[in-house]
Amino acid sequence: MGNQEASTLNNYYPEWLVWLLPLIAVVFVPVVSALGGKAREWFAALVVLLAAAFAVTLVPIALSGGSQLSMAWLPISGFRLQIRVDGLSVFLALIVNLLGFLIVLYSQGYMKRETGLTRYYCLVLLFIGSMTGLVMAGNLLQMYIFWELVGICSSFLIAFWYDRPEAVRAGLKAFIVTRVGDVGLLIGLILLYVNTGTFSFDALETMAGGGKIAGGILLASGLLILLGAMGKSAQFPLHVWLPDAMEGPTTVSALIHAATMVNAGVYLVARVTPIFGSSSIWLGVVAWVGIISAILGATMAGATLDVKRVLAYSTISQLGLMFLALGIGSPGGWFASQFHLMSQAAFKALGFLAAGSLIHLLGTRDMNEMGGLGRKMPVTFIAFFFSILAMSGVPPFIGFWSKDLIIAELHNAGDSTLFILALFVSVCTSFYAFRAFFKVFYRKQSDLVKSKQIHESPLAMAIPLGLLSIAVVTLWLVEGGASRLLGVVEPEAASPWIYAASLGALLIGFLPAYAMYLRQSPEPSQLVATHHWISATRNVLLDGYGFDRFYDRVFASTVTRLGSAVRLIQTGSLGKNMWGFLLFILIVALVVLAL
Amino acid sequence: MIDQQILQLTAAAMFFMGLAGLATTRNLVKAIMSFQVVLFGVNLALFSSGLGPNGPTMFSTALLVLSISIGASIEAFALSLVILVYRHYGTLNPWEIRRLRH
Repeated sequence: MGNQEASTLNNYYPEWLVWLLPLIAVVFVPVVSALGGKAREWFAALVVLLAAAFAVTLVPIALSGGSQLSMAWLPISGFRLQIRVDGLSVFLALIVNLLGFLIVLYSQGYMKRETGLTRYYCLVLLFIGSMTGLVMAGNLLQMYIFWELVGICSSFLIAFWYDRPEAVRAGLKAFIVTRVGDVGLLIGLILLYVNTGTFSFDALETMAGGGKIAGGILLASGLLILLGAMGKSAQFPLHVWLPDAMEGPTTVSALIHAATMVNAGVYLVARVTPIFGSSSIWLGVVAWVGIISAILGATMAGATLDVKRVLAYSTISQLGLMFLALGIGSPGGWFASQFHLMSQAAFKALGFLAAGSLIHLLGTRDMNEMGGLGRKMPVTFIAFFFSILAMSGVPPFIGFWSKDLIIAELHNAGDSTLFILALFVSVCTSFYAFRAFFKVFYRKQSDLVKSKQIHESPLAMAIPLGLLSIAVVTLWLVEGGASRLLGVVEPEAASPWIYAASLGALLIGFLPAYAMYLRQSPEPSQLVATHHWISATRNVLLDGYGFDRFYDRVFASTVTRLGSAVRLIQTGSLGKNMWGFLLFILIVALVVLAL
Repeated sequence: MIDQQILQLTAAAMFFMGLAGLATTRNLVKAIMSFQVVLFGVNLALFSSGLGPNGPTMFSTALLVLSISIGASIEAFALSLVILVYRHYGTLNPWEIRRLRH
């Protein structure tokens, strides 16, 4: 990788503009919106499209080995601004900006009747720009700045409808839960800096490779940084914010789940794997966090009644599979995780946008109130169908190839426990995916559906759906290209047994969903009524394994109680508070003098 | 260095004068002015602690400029809040604006 000194922007436009352009454009959104709503929408879409074009122009650089620009930043302190252009960063930048463009385009139709759109587009551009900045950052400190920007944007966007208490609560929850992880990340990277004197990924890789960092320090900082990644990527036990994040507009959910936020954690773990990957404990923790999250997410998705929550739990589960693949520690596993990230991004964006069309039309997210929508909305139907097929891993859809890569790598690694658990996740995935699909589009039409004038979504919404539908069918063709870009030897075709096992898992999951939700024999409600253990399991799953209640009782109530104690000293009048402050300073001064 | 001590004492004096102003004033605009005095005191302390043998060092000057510009933006923000408070409550007396307490 070549290192270049960039004293100015000259000659390096794409490297800079791919992330700077959306960030600069944020300032201009209010200006442009003075020209009217249409101008604002097209401006935002154009900016993201341009950023995506810049990301495309970076591909040749990454293919020829990558480069790293660096520039003095806070020269006194010795920190440097580093822009890293390599396979991983360009790959992620492409996903972020291309999907971001489609989602912004879709917003034109979906958010048409909303107010506060200037705020919306500002935050979306800031979100996309910071996410690109995050993946292009060449050192941990710079990445951390963008990391926090991504976090704050997501919680603001989740709470976009700030007059709805649930939305505000969900935004706050996302902020606080990811904060737990972020504190870990911050401590981890400070620990690393204190012991190595550098934040740069390059230098850290060389030092860790040469065994210059003490094993204990390496493991501790690695686990703390992993905690940050778990918060962002909604992994067990910090996954609780993601299902609630559904309170935001659907476009925001699509952004968070497909293009930005949750990918940051997987990206970070992939980025630091060369640094910490020598420790088998660290890899083991990554893999087990992944598989536990995958199982939790996949099982909860099979019980919930909210169509967006199905997709949210599915995200937790798919991200878990990516962590699992990273935890294998082989180059093949590393590639499989990133390929699955791309695949998940494509079919999850499609799923959310299709679900958004439904919600837009019906005004509800409850799947029991949907049903029989198949004939009435052909584009949405096909889009959702393709997303379900890709999610559950039906060939030749993208999900099949990427999930199979992971399962094949697990098989190669020879860990039969993880292999079997991953197949179990596969079973659950195909069950919940088809369950949601049958519930929404088949069965009898509900009263709500009968009462509404059903029509297809406007063109601005249909075009992104169409493009993404094509993408989930054809993206497997880019596997060779992706492996070249990421600098990994393309994995060989797995043995037929692997394919057979994963297709078998698919079928095992599909059959009960088909019987219960399409043929209605046995009827799901009767099963719940007659079998005690089914209803008990269902209640546990609907409760989300009680994580929310547990956190509420242990952490939230403690903080609230402490808060109400402290509240007594808040008088609410400036003068009195100031006298209190003066008194405090006096006491501190006396103590200092006495010492 | 006697100069540095004078500067530091002045800074401390400005800091406490500002706080006293904040504690006693009945007008939010004056409260912001007092706050400005506090900030200037802090900036002065920053400046005096960054004095090397050949005058201020580059690092302290950079920090000082940063601190001054942050202070300026905070004040601008506070002033805009004061305007909103006046529109909302019809008064600038901070002792009467206690609705957030309840």
